[in-house]
Amino acid sequence: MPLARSIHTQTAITLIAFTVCALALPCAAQTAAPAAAALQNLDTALLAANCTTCHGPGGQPPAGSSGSIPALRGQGSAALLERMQAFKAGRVAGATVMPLLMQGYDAAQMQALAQWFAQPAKAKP
Amino acid sequence: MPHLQRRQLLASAAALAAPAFVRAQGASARVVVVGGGFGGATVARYLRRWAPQIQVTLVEPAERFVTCPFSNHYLAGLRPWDSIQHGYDGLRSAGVQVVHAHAKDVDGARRQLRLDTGQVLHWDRLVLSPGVDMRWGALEGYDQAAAELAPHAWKAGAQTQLLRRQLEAMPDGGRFVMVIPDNPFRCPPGPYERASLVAHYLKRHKPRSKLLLLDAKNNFSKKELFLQGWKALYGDLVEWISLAQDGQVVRVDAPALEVETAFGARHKADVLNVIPPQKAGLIAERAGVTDASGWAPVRGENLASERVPGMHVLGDAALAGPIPKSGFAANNQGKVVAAALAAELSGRPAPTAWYANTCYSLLAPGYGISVVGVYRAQDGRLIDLPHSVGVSPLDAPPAHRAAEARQGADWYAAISADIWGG
Repeated sequence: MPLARSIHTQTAITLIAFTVCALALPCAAQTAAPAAAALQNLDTALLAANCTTCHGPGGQPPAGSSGSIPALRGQGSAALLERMQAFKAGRVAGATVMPLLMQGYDAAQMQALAQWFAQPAKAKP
Repeated sequence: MPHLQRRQLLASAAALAAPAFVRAQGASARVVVVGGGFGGATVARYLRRWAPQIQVTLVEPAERFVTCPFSNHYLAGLRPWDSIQHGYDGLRSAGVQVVHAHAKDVDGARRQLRLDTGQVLHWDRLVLSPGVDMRWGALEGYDQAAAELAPHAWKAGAQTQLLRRQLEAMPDGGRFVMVIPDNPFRCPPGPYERASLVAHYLKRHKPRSKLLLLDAKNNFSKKELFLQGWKALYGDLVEWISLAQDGQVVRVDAPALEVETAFGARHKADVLNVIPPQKAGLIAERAGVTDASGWAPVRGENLASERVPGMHVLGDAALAGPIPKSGFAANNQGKVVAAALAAELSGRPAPTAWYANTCYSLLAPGYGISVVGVYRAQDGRLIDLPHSVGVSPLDAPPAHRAAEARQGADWYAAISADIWGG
């Protein structure tokens, strides 16, 4: 089953790339093989799409929002990561849903999310 | 290594799976999505975003979709009708072909969907997000005709407007009775948010009135928070009768606006709101994806039907383990289905499914509460992430309740923009 093998190999490569990317900071490993990058991008895009349900399309609140849920897009990755870690550790006074939500994401996922939202907005993020 | 074998099996199944995979190489796989609500419209939009080469057709009867979330706000006079409606121009701009028609039947062997207009749509993958249908007759005396007298208002639209007119016409000193079903049903905290906002309306406009909740359960979503909030906000205006207290209604006499409980108690109403037992929308049944429960079992990794190949089911219609039947959950499920199909139809490896849910409920203006959870797939099933599932704290200060009220409103704006573009 050559197809199956090749897909599986891609998965393995991507997992390695993703792990390296997650541990090395700052992450410049976005230059992995195109197929691996595609998987990583789709995985991270899907993960980030968990956030946009509240934080708005592309991580930016829509017009008419009161600002009670902040923009994620355009914040620095270090600041985003620190904020997520603080929520997860219960260190944010006055927090509402985020301390619980962050229990559902591990260090590598938080790293990937921080980098994702730190990128400048695209035309169709 | 079972994981490895499973991946190989899935990959080879994809390779064997007929025309879609092959056609995808030629860049025009066809996905038909039934249902333009929180689940289906999300699939359509995100599929176009993540795999622009795929042709996406969305089938939805309504030209403007009325959301159940925030329909309780409308009911209590806190929001205009227009503000809970969304059109499909944003999806069209995103390249989705939108067809306003009813899906009537599915031919799984020929991969065809028949519409009430006579049109037949051909698909390589079919996505069903039809929401719920009422189980007419499951509650004795409660059928479609009865719902015109005692509205359910559990599908937003004319029923919601009918219930609001009845509430507005109710005399001060009248009695609003709500009948609440056992699990599972659409939007677990929904009846209790409705009770809160009806109570808010009554307190302001008809303070001598009474709200009676007859429940087929002893427990419900955010129960302690609702009970605490009702007591603080509305005193004894709201009375909740549990299953153990003979709250289960077994018969409805809609013309008389009267209900009867399991132990024979009769309750007369001035306004009677009956939320009946539910099941997956009818098209799911026609497609063969539902089981004896009336809901559609799905695989946690991609929400593929457990029963019919080539079909995915999401939102309220799906049996999604611990994930509640909420608009938020349907939106996150829509993204998982879109990512899974984008990968599969372009020969890429399957992405990792990850689901979040946050449901805000408003007990009064400036008083919000929430329930949260994060979920993932494991061996085909859906499980919650440790310590991620929980609710707002009891006895929280007013600032906390006010913050969640504001966030609830901002959530609605965000998810509406995320799905319909505004």
